[in-house]
Amino acid sequence: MRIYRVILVFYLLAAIAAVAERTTPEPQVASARYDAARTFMERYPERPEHLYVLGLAAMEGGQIDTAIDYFEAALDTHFYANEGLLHHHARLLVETGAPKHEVAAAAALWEKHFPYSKNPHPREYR
Amino acid sequence: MLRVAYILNRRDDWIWFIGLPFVAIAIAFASQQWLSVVAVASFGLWVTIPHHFAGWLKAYGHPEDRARWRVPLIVGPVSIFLVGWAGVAWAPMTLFLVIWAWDHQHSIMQQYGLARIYDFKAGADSPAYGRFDLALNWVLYLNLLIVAPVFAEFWVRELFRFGVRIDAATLELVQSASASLTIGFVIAYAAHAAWSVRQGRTLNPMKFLFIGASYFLWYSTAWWLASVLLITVAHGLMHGVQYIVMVYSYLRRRGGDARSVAVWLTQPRHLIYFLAACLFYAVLYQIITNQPMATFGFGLIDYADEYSDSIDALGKPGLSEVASYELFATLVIHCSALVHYYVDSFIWKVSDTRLQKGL
Repeated sequence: MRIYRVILVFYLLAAIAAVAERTTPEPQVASARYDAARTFMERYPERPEHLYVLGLAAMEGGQIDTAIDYFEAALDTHFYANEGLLHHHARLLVETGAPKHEVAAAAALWEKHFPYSKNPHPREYR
Repeated sequence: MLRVAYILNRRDDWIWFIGLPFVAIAIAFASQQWLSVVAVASFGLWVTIPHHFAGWLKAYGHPEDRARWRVPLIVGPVSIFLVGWAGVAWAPMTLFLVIWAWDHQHSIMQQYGLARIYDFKAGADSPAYGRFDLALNWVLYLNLLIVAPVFAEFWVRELFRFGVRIDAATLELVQSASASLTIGFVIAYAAHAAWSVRQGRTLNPMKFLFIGASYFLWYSTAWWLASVLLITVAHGLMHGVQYIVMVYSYLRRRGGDARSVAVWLTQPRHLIYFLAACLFYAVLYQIITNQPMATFGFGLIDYADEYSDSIDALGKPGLSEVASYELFATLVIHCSALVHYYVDSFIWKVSDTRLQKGL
């Protein structure tokens, strides 16, 4: 039985979690996800993914300079795993008429990390 | 007293068990700076998947072990397949949670096991060492999961899902308490080690270097790297490579009937076959899971990309994924033809007098 001890512990955990998953209504799960994300953002407002979310909100609210500031703060931490961040940043620089070298650097960063992206090149937003 | 002893030998231990974590950190940082996200998947394919093959080889490759664990080696996989299948169909988030939890427990136990081997090699046989090492590994790793933001996000979300709602202040309090308890335990662990030496018991300093290097990787990458994928690269390199090294070394030392696959693959001068088998397994894995072979290329190969877009104006379709894979396979096969073209360029020169004799 000793050999099966670990697997049985995980099966027990799975059984409890599965019952909870099947019996929790979907709206409650969605609300839990939202509340958890809020708590986490309050605890770590400086996390790059949270800066990105704040940047998106600023962008949608028309505060483009603020959005760029948030995106650049996120990029300062070398958070290059989110294509949206790199692409939005480059695109906003193009749209706001930023200096050529800044646009080129932002676009190059996006191209380097997502070479096979299907998104249009940021220059196309000119 | 302190007695230095090695798992493999001095050179290999420094490379694989002490130095490797630092190299893995450097590779993860380099990936963050210079490579695309596709490259991250490449590391997984080159290391993580082959380390599963090494595990199969250790479990199923040796006839003696197969006979010894005949029932668990059948019952376990069958039950895991059934539970996994049920999880995918019925409770996917639960399955994800179980995989997440078991993955971490597995990582803790590997480092704990290697630490125990260091004690075993040095003849440090106090039963308290095992208990202290196990507790140290659990405390350090659980603290990492609690305090590192990259891991905390996961369990905070799961807590909310199970109806346990905490606010940011409580979260901070829990994390501070965890960090304090961990520091307290590490001090107690060090005090016990010092006390053991004073009592004349044997300690292996390599064990502490090994534990230190492993947790340096986990803690530093959790804070210094910006993405979970890159943390996975560093962890996967350390965990996977150390596992492969251990399996190879163990099976090679153990020996046995050369007709068994595990013994044959780990015989002297068969390292290349062992590595090729690991790689072949990774290729099979990609084919079975219908993943692109381009993942092997660290983001430098993607045949579908340049030709995937259709030319609507001319009614020309783009290259599909299947067609792109066929192109890839065809290129691999036809690369051997290059050698044929090369040798023919000089072995059939009719002006060559030696050739004329044969003609």
